[in-house]
Amino acid sequence: MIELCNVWYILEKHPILEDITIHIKPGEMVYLFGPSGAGKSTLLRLAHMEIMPTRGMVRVADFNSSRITKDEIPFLRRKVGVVFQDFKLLPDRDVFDNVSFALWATGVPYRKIKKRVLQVLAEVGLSHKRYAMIKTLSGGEQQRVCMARALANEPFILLADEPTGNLDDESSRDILTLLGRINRRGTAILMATHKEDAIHQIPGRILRLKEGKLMS
Amino acid sequence: MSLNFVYSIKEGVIGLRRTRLASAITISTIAVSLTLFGLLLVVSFHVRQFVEQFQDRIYVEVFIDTSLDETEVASLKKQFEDYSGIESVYFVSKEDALARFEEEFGKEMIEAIGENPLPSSFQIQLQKSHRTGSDLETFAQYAQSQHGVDEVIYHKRLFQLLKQYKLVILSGGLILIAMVFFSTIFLIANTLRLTIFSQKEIIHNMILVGATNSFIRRPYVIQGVLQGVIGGGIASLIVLALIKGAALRFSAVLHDASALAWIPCGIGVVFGYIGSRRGLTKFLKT
Ligand SMILES: Nc1ncnc2c1ncn2[C@@H]1O[C@H](COP(=O)(O)OP(=O)(O)O)[C@@H](O)[C@H]1O
Ligand SMILES: [Mg+2]
Repeated sequence: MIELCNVWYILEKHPILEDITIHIKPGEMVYLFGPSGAGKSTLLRLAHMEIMPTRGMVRVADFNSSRITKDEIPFLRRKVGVVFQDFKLLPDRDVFDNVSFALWATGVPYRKIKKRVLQVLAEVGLSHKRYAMIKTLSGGEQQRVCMARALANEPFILLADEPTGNLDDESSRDILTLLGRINRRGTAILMATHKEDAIHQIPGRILRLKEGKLMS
Repeated sequence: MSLNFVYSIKEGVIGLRRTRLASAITISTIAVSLTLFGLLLVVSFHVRQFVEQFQDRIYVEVFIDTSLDETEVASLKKQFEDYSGIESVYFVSKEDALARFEEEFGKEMIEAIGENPLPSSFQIQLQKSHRTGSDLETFAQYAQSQHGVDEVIYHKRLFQLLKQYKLVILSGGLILIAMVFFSTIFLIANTLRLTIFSQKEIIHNMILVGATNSFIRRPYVIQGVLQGVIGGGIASLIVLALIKGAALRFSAVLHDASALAWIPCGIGVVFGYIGSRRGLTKFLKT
């Protein structure tokens, strides 16, 4: 499903990730745990090919980092849902438009888009806010929009980079509960976090990352 | 595909509102710079026309002896008409001359003068290709030497000035137009980039959720074209209004330059398209 084989990521002669090998199977819950600066975000960015490995190979479904062309990357992104710590929403649009955007991009007809968007908004508990502008939402709500958007294309895996990083305790718990529910329904999750208490809420495999290296 | 296109158009239109500040700046910049460009076009068009017309108005005036009778006048006219390179010979009688004088200076002047002192004359226009300094001079001398000719006048000095400055005026106009044109393009390209730059982060986020470059690009290009149409359209309307306004006042001297007024709008569309596409390439690289 997602595989990193002996991946190195080197920036200006400074190795940020060293010899990382990870294999994530369908439906798996995997934590990427480590202090800040360990390289978690970098690893996730490699996993949806926002950046390319300096050495080694990243494979996501049928896409291989050593062969993928620029034109294929958007199609990879639609199979991988990404939840960002800083949300990366389109702040000048409302909730509905943010979630539907990725679907328009895939050329789905409007009737289906509407149905799917309402469905994922219900899943993350934001049906009542569908016409709210992003700017008017709380952090927890924005994170849920972000998750709804990530889920809209029915990805087989969700990459979550510190999804609770910018949230208060209560919102964090909500988000983790939501992630647990998504995982139980069969979507694999790779979640990066530096918070000890975040990795016990959902049962899963824990990968420990420190200074760019995986601890066994 | 077609559904996507409808979406793109809608997004492009809504985009104007989303980026209202940047769009307003862009549209007004386009409007102002293209208005100036349009006015420059109209003005230089008229300068050109005036120069041409001026040249047409240079004719040789041959004043004739008041003692000549009708047959002598007729034979003199014939003689001038037969001279090679003459376009027209027009006879202005004493009475015609007086009427013209009266039109220009009023009745009082004539009454003050008393008897009609004006001589009759021929207004002789040379053919266009013969309207050169030497041909005019040769003909003037020829006319002067004819029996019954009192005096020959043509605007020698004016003609020389015109000849001297025509090239300067026309090529100077072209250079000015080119300069303003290129700075207009530069300005438009950069203000369009301003709108797109204000969307830099949003564009990056779109890329991250799997939108293809062409899907991201389309609404922005449509938005750019709209900005061009609106800005250029405003410029065209202003130029057109000024042309019409001027025509009301100076209808006698002005030519119809309305067609020129649409050039700013056309430029707006073309550069709205090119400028927004080019502004985007930088953000759509990765
Ligand atoms: N674009 C970049 N330019 C320079 N340094 C970077 C860049 N991205 C990451 N790094 C460095 O790589 C290391 C790992 O960063 P990151 O993956 O963000 O860690 P984490 O997400 O675990 O906090 C840090 O030392 C960071 O400074
Ligand atoms: Mg990080």
